Amino acid sequence: MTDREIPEAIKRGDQRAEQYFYRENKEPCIHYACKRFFWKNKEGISIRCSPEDAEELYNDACALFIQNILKDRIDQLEIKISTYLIKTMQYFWYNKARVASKPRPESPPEEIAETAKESMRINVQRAIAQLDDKCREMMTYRYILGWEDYEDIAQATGKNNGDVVRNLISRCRKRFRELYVAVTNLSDI
Amino acid sequence: MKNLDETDIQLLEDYWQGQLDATASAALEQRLAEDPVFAAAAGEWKLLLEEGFGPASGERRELEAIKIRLKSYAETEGKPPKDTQPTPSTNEKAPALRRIYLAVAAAAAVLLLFLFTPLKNIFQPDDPYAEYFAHLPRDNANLSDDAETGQEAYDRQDYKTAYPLLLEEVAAGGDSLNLIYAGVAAVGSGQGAEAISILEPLLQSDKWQFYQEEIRWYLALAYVNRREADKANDLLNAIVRSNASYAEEAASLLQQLE
Repeated sequence: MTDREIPEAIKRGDQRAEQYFYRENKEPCIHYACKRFFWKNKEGISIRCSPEDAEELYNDACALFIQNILKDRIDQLEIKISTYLIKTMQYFWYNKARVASKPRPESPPEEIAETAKESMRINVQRAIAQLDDKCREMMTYRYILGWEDYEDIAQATGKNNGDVVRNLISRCRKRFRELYVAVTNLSDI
Repeated sequence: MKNLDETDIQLLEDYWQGQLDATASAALEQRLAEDPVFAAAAGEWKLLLEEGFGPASGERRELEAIKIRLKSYAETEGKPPKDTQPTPSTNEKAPALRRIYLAVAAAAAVLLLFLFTPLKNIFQPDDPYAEYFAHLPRDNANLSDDAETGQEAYDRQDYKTAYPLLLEEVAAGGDSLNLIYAGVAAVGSGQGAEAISILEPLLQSDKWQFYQEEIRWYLALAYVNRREADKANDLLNAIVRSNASYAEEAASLLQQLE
């Protein structure tokens, strides 16, 4: 089974494809993460990614990969699945490190009710679902998967370079914001 | 959020990611401090980034179900998936000769199956299990809240959605009768291996006396789906001999397979 066939097979609900890609990529991705992922804490000490952390990152990346395919948010990958998974793991790791190294605010932040967060997430999903295929894919990479480097997104989606992606995301985000405001106003009625 | 333009958003995101130089950062911080409308709009976008793009509860449930599946793959690691012969990846280091032997052996095995198994017709393109599969109405009650449940998806005969949700509900302490319906949903969505892994233990357990006939029938369909000819034959013959529910269907399916 090739990397190109796997997304199609997952979309058809073929769990053997899931099993195959999960097992095939697990060891190299975890190995890579343990070797290359680290961050420096406030004392300047390097914190390496442990095998347990790496496995958790791997499982999260795989689960999101499957879900994004099933939700038509990712259509065709232009990079190897292992590269895609490692990139996603890397951004999850950055975010984890960023949260861990963030200084605690002196006053606790204003709490937002879980219901408000939930309706925000539902409205975001509705707005994303209404975007065209290309924009849905761009918004997925940038905001759902949290890929921050436009060059990475360009490689994964087969675009020429990061500037093309940056401009595309800007247009898609504008459209997304319009849709988001519209669905939020509708859900408020 | 309406009070931000695209340039503002780009600038803010670069700032939050620590990608702005000192001068640009200072200018932005000053603007945030001096312009409350801009600061409020920026706060709104930041909140959306931090909270809005995460999965909502429905998607979280789906993600959890996917993770449960992935975990089961991890637990059965080392055992090759049945009937799966994926093309080896380019980085596989198996010696070429061994691969040739394996290919020859696989081809010979397939040929022998075609020549000698009474179920040779099973390899015909139209899968008989799909022809014989019928929805099994549920006996248990709906005790759900507003959220989509596996039972609702099952009743709609959306088996692909129902299967992981039903398993998840049982795992969360829900009605264990749903295990049977998860097995039926797995058969109905063409996931024979998953159905077998659920229904085989149910058949062996004496907890499900009143559902033996259903379990046997759907397990037989799962075997047919997975081309497990011997097991399918044995179970279908047992159903015919029992002269109970599904005996007629089993006889007809056997005839078709032979």
